[in-house]
Amino acid sequence: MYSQSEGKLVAVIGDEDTVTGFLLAGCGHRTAESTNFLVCDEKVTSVHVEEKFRELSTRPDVGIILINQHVASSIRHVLKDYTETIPTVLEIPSKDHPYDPEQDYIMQRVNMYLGGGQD
Amino acid sequence: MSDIPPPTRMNQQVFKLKKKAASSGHRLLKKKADALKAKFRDYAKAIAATKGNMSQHTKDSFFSLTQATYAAGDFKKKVREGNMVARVRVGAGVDNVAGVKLPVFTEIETGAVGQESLGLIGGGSKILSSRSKFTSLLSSLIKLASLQTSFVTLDEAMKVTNRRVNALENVTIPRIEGILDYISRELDELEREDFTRLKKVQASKEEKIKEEQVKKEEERERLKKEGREIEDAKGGDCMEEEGEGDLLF
Amino acid sequence: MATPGTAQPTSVGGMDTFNIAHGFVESLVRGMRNSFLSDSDYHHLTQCDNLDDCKMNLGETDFGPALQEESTLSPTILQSAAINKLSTEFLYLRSQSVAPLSTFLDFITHEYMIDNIMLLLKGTMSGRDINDLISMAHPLGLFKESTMRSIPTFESNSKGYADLYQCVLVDTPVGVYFAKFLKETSQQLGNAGEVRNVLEEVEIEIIKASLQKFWLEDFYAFCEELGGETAMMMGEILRTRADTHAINVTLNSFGTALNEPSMRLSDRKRLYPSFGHLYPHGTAMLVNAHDPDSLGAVVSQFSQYAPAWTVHTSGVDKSIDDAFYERDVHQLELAFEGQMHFACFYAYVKLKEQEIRNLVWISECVLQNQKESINSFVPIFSQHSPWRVKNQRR
Repeated sequence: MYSQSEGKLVAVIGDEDTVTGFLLAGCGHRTAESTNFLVCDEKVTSVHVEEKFRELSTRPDVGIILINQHVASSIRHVLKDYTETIPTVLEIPSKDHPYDPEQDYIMQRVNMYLGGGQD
Repeated sequence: MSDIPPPTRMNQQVFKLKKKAASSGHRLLKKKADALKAKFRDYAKAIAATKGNMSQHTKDSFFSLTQATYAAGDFKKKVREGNMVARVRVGAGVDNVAGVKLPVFTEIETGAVGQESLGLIGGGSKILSSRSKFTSLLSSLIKLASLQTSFVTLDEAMKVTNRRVNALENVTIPRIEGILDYISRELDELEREDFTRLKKVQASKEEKIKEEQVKKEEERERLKKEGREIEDAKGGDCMEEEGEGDLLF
Repeated sequence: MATPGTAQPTSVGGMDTFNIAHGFVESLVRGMRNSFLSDSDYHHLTQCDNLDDCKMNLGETDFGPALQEESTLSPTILQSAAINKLSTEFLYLRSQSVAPLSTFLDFITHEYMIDNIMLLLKGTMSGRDINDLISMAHPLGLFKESTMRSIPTFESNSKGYADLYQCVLVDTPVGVYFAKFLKETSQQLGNAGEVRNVLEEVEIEIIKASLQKFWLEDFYAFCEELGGETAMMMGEILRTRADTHAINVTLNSFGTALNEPSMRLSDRKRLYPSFGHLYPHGTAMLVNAHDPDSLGAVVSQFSQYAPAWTVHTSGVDKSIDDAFYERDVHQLELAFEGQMHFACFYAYVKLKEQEIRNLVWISECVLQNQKESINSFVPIFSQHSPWRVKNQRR
């Protein structure tokens, strides 16, 4: 139907509002095996999140994984060891946890480079 | 430093060439490192700017969802049920920057149709507005993901290049220079040895000649004294000597 | 407004007989009228800096006990606590009522039942666990648990769906609407009611809009039969609702397949109820409305809706949905005037719904720090409502 080989999916792991928003934007993809998103409500544990992350990060058809910052923190140990370029992990704020640059590894490196002297 | 190459002229040439290659390699790598650093800076700035915008953009998008819920009722649960085909995908391409391959994401529209009748009996326009905010947020996040992967890859490439520059500067080139020094010293030494040897050989040759001359003199004297008695023998010698003259025809 | 001892025949009972059957329940609902948040309650809530403050303020109101058990407050928690509270109150009213009030109250629940069935069907298609789905269902629209649980047991193929319909949906109170819908659709599609095709091809929202239309028509007919004050008040309320339904369907169909010229006549027209101020001339005109301007031209001809349309087109802040909400609240508040009719029960449920919408809105604005927009809700029985203020000035 649609060229599956053309382009990879954008996956979302986040709270209800985050996932809904990006599904509205057209990220969502459901097949018989799985979906490319996970809604993290009270029933979802960090083990679930870890499992879903491992699944998504090893799928060859996923290009980007969007994840709420506060959810990412619950699996920080897994993310620290994750070094693949694709899929890329992008941490985003949520409705009730606004963006915190302190928790963003990339932003830390950027600021260190721009702010702290030249070499 | 396992095997020291034998100090020959040929090796000297070989290592002179090696030094040249290493120096020009070093020059090129340094240029590359500078170019990468400049690009890295650009990316760092772009990321800082984009992340700043993203914060507000996200906030607005979430609020638009709240407005849509007020107008249309709780539709969030409906959005994630049912069949779904992704309308937006990303193409993973490669950009060549200063000789480094950087991963780049491009946005691809598949043309799949989503649930277009959400909010049909109320709140449809607010849902549309929320949808468009999230769509543009997604675009900007895809760009950010591109910047981020490039940034990380550049970081690695820079580290590698700098390491190689340092290696050349602090290890390889000094080593080659060291070898060259050694070779030329050895060659000099050999030359001096040769020279000395030659001199010695010459000196010993001269001594030998001198000795022989002295011996000859002594022989002549002796023979002069005994000369008249053994003239024949000498004559014989003379004749032989003269005989050699005859052979000239 | 109330004309006591009206000559119109009514099964509801006039001033002399109403209270025998329904007096107690009516008094209950009038008592519940006092539980609505007041202007000062709303004022305190909008001044809160965080959700803990909101919780504290709500502790003083009727919502206090419902929230006591929760350790923290979130808009989601607030919403489900409020809906559960409403559901409990409503079920109590229902348990105390007799026919025809009991039937009337049942009619009110059908709207939520339609929503729940759509959710269950769609969720089952996605392979969701039935327990999750039941927990997400609206409590006012629950039907027999055994029926709900049997839905995923049907196979996901043609025969399965046909069976599902025959065995399950037909038994539910809204089954009859489904039957009407399928009949209409198969006439359209030309094949003999392929249930599964319908469920998969027609978008869920459109099915829901159709079912709601049938429900509105049914409810309207029932109220007309009841006669008297009830018919008068509910008649007006439901007519307005039918018109709103038609206008919204038209407006929200722009930019979708439903607005295609071929679809407008065949599918969109089917969604317009066959009663209301707009019916039949207005709805006939609506069929041809293909963009906001042509829609506006039709709507502005009707004095009841022209103001709402003006708000919508001029509106930076307000949309037509806001205008409709305001008008609805005004109309529903009026239902509490006068006695000896059932409209106040309907009004109670609907006004409570608006209150819940308001609470979710305010709590979200507090949570997301969007203070400028926090007052964009419609308070109920407010002293500052434009219609009340206007009356007081006289």
